[in-house]
Amino acid sequence: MDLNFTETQDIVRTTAREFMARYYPKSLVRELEEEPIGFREDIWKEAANLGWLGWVIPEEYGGVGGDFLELIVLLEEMGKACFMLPFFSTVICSLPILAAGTKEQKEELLPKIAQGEMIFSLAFTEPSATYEAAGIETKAVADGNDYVINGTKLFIHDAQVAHSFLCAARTETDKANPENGITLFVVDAKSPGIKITPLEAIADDKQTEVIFKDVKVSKDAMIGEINQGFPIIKRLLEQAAVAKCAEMMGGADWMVENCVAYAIERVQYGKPIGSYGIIQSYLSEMWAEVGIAKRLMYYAAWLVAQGGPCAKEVAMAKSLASEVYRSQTRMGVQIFGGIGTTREHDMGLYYRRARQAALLFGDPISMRERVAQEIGL
Amino acid sequence: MNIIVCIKQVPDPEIPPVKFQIDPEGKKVIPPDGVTPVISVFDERAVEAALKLKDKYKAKVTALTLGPDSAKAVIRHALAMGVDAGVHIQYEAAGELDSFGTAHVLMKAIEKIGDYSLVLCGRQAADWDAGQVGLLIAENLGIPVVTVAKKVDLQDDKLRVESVIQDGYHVMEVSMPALVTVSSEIGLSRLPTGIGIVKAARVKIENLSVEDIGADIPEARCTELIKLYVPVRDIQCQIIEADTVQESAEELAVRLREAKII
Repeated sequence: MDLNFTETQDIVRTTAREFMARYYPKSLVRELEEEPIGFREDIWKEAANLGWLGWVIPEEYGGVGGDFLELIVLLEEMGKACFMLPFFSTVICSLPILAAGTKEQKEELLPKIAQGEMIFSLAFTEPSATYEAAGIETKAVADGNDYVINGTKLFIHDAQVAHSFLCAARTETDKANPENGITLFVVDAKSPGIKITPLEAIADDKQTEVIFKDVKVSKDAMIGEINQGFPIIKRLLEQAAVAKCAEMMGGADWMVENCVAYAIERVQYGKPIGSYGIIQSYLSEMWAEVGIAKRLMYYAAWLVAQGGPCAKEVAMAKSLASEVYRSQTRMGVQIFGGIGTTREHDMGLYYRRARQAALLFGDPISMRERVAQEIGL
Repeated sequence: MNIIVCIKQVPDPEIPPVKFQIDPEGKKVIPPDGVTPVISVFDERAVEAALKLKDKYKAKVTALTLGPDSAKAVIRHALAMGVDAGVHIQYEAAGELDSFGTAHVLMKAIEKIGDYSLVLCGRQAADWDAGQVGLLIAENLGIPVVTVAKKVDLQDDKLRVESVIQDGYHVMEVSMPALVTVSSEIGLSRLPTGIGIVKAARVKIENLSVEDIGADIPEARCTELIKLYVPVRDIQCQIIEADTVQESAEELAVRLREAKII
């Protein structure tokens, strides 16, 4: 059993770290948080030129042909830098196209994604705020060669800059099994009938409400088979949950590293605060818990990369990462003391993101319920 | 045109200062736990200089390193940036060698690779900052050397090198083969692309021992490390209080002048 990173993963990490140091200072994070659009074309193009948007897209479709674990390393560094551009949304949406799209759809969409020309937003969650199939009430009704979509999507990331939505809609009602009758569509974000309203969220991470009113899409825009979208979505949600874990653990890494450095440098009552028992206790607990959560995340990511069943492990990883990131950022504020509560200090960026990310792609309670189901309870 | 770039693996200079530790008795730097070593930043600039020539003249670029097993990671990094081949002289005790010993081994490796027009090195390694190895390799090979380059280009059948001096730069014309040490003024090095990273993983790095290249490891160092220590910095902070920003700036300028800083 070799638990070391590969040389390739190490290069991905150092490259991403250098990229963030060159192009993505914390001052920019704050600027983007304040802006309604929160996007920088030049940085997006740089990321695209490095192949990041097409990391898991095969070379035949203009991508890098890398693997999911390398993407996880990249996402860790993005979490560490509080990266806000619509990378996560776009890459996550490319996965079901890759897995279930037709050859024509792949040839049309994937090269544009890889080159940074097409930004995607995942239009899945609705006012019920659940990731279960029963939460999908948006309807798509056949109309000749088209489908007409009506419904409201809520907490949708990056809709304000998206060229397209990957939208989950109900094409058939099966009350006995809500997972039946869901279909995935690629929807042009400029389609008539789409209304996007920004939401104010704790992490200022560009969430929106997206209303679809009589929005027409061609049958050719369907990803996968009619009524058979939920298995694709399930896989997507597993991939997204692990990817979100990676972002969270990158943020947790920043916190632990900076808290340790501060505890050594900050002198109070004539001694570094790291020499006091309570701070040592905080930091050793943070070090251990973040280490455990990261390793569970890597295991879940490895299972996802293998393509086999991983629902239980993904749920365990997401639940633990969410709880650890939330509790450890609270302890981080304790260690930094007063300065850690100010807007000027970076700690708040991570504190707010920890609370937001815990709810995305499965909050800890729903993830623990999933684990319970998976172990037969 | 064949270019050889000498690169070195060093402790990551971006680690927090609190993680940097030394063993004063053993006169060694203690590798920071859990931190992957990286390519020396000046050597990375040398790779960039080589790749600029490759972009313009379709040169073949070979990255060469001397070090323990872990050092091949810097070759992989250079491959990801775009060099064509990598040679790793594996020697676990490379850290014990001084600049003379290192230059001897690298000279032998360069002779083994053969058929080169240009050897590029960083102006100095980012760990010990000695700045000797490039010069000594050139001396050993018997080829001309230009140091601290900010630009390297071809002009007819010669090299045209802009070499940094205190208040500007010299333009030097050099016949080839030659060795040039590269400085950070050459500009930021390119980041490895995804395609480059994935392709680099497929390249086989040539692994050679010091015996394979016929190098004789000197029994004694030519230089002796007398003492290794972390300098103690005594920082005193003075707060300048004034009614306006302009007055603060004036007072700051006065105090800096008094301290003979400006």
